[in-house]
Amino acid sequence: MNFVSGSLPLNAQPRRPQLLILITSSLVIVLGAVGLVAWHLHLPALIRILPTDSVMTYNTALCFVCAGMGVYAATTQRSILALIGGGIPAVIGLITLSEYLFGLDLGIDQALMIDDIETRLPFPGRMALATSIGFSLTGFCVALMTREIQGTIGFLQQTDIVGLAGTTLIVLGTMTVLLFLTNMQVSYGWGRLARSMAVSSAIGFVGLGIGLVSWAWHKGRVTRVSELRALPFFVQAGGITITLLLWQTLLVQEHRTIEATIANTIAHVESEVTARMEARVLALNRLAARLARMKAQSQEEWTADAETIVRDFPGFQAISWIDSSRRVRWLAPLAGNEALLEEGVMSEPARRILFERVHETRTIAISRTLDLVQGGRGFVVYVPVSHGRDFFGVIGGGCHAETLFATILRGIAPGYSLTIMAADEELYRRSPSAPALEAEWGQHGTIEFFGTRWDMRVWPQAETLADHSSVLPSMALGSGLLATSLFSMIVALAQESRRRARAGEITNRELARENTKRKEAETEVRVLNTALEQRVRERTTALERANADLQQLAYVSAHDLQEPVRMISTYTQLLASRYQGKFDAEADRFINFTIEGTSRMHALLTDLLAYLQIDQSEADRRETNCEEILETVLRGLQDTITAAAALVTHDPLPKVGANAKQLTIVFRNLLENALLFRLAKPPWVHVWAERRDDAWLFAVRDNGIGIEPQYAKQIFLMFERLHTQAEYPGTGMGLTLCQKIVERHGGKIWVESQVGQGATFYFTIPDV
Amino acid sequence: MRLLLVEDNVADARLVIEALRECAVPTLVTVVSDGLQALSYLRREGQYTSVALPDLLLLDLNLPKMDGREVLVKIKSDQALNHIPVIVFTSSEADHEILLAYRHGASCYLIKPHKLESYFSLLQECITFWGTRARLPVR
Repeated sequence: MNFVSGSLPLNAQPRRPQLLILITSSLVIVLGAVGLVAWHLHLPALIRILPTDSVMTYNTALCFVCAGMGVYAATTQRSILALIGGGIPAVIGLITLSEYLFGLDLGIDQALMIDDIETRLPFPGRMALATSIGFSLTGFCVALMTREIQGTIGFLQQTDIVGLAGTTLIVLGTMTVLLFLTNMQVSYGWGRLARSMAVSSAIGFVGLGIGLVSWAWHKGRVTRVSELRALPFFVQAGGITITLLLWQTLLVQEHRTIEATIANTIAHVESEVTARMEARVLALNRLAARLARMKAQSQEEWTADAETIVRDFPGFQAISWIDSSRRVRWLAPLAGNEALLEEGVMSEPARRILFERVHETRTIAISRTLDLVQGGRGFVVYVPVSHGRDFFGVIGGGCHAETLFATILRGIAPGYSLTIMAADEELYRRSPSAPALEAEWGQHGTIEFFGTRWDMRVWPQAETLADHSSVLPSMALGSGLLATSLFSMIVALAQESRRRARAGEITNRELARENTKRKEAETEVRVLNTALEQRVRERTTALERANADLQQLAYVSAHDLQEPVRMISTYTQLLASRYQGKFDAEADRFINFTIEGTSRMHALLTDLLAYLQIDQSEADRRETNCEEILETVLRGLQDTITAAAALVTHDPLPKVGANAKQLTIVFRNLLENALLFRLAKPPWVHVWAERRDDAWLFAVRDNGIGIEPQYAKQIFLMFERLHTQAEYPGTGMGLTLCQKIVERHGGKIWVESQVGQGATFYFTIPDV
Repeated sequence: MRLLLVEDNVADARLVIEALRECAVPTLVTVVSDGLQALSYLRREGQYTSVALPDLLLLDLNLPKMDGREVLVKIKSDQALNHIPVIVFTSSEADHEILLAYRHGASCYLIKPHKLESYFSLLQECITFWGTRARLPVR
C-alpha cells in the first residue's frame, strides 16, 4: 500500500520547507532546549510540569533538540546537518532500546547528567521505553529523508515509510497524553517497572510526527484524504488508540470498583470487630457490676458466670477479679491459667499501669499488646468494679490476640485476607500470604477501642479479585482491535474498489471514446465508400459510354469509308478496262498500282469491320455443329482448295456452345492461312478436336512454311505480318480476329510450329 | 424493261448504266436521286405526271431527304405500287439491314461488289433474271 495516491511521480522535492514543518520543528527544538536548560540549572519545576507526570530525562531533551533540527534540515536539503540531527537521537534511542530489551546497562543513561529528580524508578536517567522507540524511528526517518529515492524499498515507497513513522509517533504521543489526562496512573506506568513517557515528551513526539507526516504529504502530493492510500493505516491507528483507551478505562473502572469494595469491607470489618469486642467487654462489665452490687457474691457464682463468659466468648483466656490491692483474688477458668496467680504478674508494668489507670479513671481500658502468661501475645481488658465511690478492683479479661481475632472475624469478609496490627506488631493474619496482592490492593483500616488502637490491612484474595474482574476489558480490547482491523480493511477495500471503479470508469470512458471514434471512423469510411462507389459507377458508365461511342465511331468510320473506297476501286478498274491500250504502258502500270492500293484498302476495311463487329454483336452461344461449320467453310474455299491442289481432312467434330457465325470466321481464317502459307509441295490440312478439362480443344494442322517460335505470339497482334504483300498477301488481321472471337468465348488460341515443318493452330472453346 | 434506279451517288448511277449497257435485256434506266423524288415519280406527281410505272426498282438504302428504307416501306404499303419488285442495291452488309429489307417486302437484297467485273456481272445477271426468268406483273 502506498502512502501516496496513484500515479503522481516523485520528482521535484520542495525546496522551501512548509510553514508547518518549520513551526513544529521549532517547537520541538524549544521543548528540548527548555529541558536541557532545566537540567543544567536543576529546576525540577520545569522538568516535571505536573506532579503526577513523569520526568523528561536529559537524554530525551537532547534528542528532541537534535531531532527537531534534523527534521528541519532534511526538508531543506542540508544533508550533513540532517544526518547529525537524525543520527544522535537514533543512536541514543537504539542504545536505550537495547538496554531495555536485553537488560543491559550500557552507561549512557546518566552519561551526560545525573538524575536525582526522578527517584521512584529503578534506572535513573533512562528515558522511557516508548521514548527510545520514538527516537530510533525519528532518527531513521530523518536519515531516509535526506536521500532522494525513487521506487520502492521492499514494497513501500520512501514517503510511505516516513508517513507511517510520523503517524506512529503521533499516535504514541497522543496516547500518552490521553492516558495521562484520564488519570490512569495505574496503567500509565505500564507495569510500574519502567519509566513512562513524560507528557512533554509526548507532545514533542506529536510535533515530530506532524512534521514527518507533513513532509511525506507534501512530497507525495496527496490532494485528497480519501485518496490517501494509507488511510486504512490511519483508521487502524485511530481505532487502536480508541480501543486501548477504552480498555484502560474499563480496567481502571474495575480497579476502582474493587477498591471501593475493599473500602466497604474494611468498614464492615471495623464495625464488626468493634461490635463483637464491645459485646465481650459488656459481658465483663456485667460481671463487674454484679460483683460490685453483691458484695458477698460467692466465688462459685462468680466463677460460674466467668466460665460462662469464657465459654460464650472464645478468645478470653481467663477472667479474673483483681482486687483493689492488685492481687488476683478469683480466676476462672483455673486450669491452664495458674500462672496468673503468681506474684509478679500484676507488677508487670503494662498491667500495673493499666490497673492504675482504671483505678483512677474508673473506666474500661484495654492494654497494649503484651505477652500473656499463658504464652503468646495478647492483651487484657480491665473493667472497674466499683459501686458508688468504692473501688473493688477490676475484672480482667485476658485475650489471646490471635484466637480472639480468629473467633471474632470468623465469617466476616470472607474472601478477603487481613492483618491486624498494634503498633507495628502483627497480632493476627488471616489467609494465605500474597505480598503482591497485599501491596497492590491493601487498604488500611483502624479500630480504636477503649484507648487502644489496632491497625488493619485488608486485601482481596485471588478468588475474590477474580470474581470482581470481568472479561469485559479484555473483550473490549479484543473486539475493539478486531473491529478496528475490519473497519480499516473495509476502508482499504472501499478505496480499492473506488480506485478500481474509477480506473474502470476511466477505462470505460476511454473505451467509449475509442468506440465513438471508431464508429465515427467507420461511418466516415462508409460515407467515403459510398461516395467512391458512386464515383466509380459514374466513371464506369462514362467509360462504357465513351467506349461504346468509340466502338460506334470506329465501326461507322470503317463502314462509311468502304463506299468511297469502292468508288475509287471500281472506276479505276473501269478506266483500266475501257482505256486499256489507249494509254502507254506506264499509265497502265500506274492504274494497276492504284487498283492494288484500293483493293488492299478494301480488304483492310472489311477485316477491321469484321473485328469491330465481334464486340457489336451479341455473345449468344447456341449449340453449334462444328462439322457443319467446317463443311460450309470448305465449300466456300473450294476454289482455293482446288487451285492449290490441297488435301483437307478432318476428324469428327463435336457440337459446342458457340456463336456459329463467329466460329465460322475462325475456321475460315485458319484454313485460309493453312492453304495460303504453303510450300511448293501439295498442301495438306487436318482438322481435329479433343476434350481437354472442361473445354473442347480444336486443332488445325498444316504442312506449310511454318512459323519461327519467336514470332508465335506476335502474329496474333493487329495488322502484324511476317511477310511482304508480294510474298503472301494479307491484311494481318486474320489471326487477330480469331483470337478475339476465341477469347470472347472464354478460350485460348496459340500456335505450335517450327520453320519448314508446318504449323498447328490450337484453340479451346470452354463449355458453357 | 423499265428500271427505276434510286441512287444519290452519280458515280454509282453511271456505273449501273454502264453495266447494263452490255446486258442481254434491253433496259430503260431512269435515275432519281432521292427518296422523295422516287415516290413522286412512282405516284406520278409533280414533274412526273406522264411517266410510266417501272417494271423494277433498284433501290439504294442511304439516300438524302427520305431514306431508302422508308421508301421501301411506303412503296410496299401503297396498294398501287406494291406489285413492283424492289431490289435493294446497297453496300451495307449488315445482317439486320438485310432482315429488315426482306421484312418490309424487298424482293431481293444485293450488295454492291468492289470488283468491277463482279459488279457488272451481278447487275447483268440480276436484270437478266428478272427480265427473262421471272414473270413480272402486267402493266
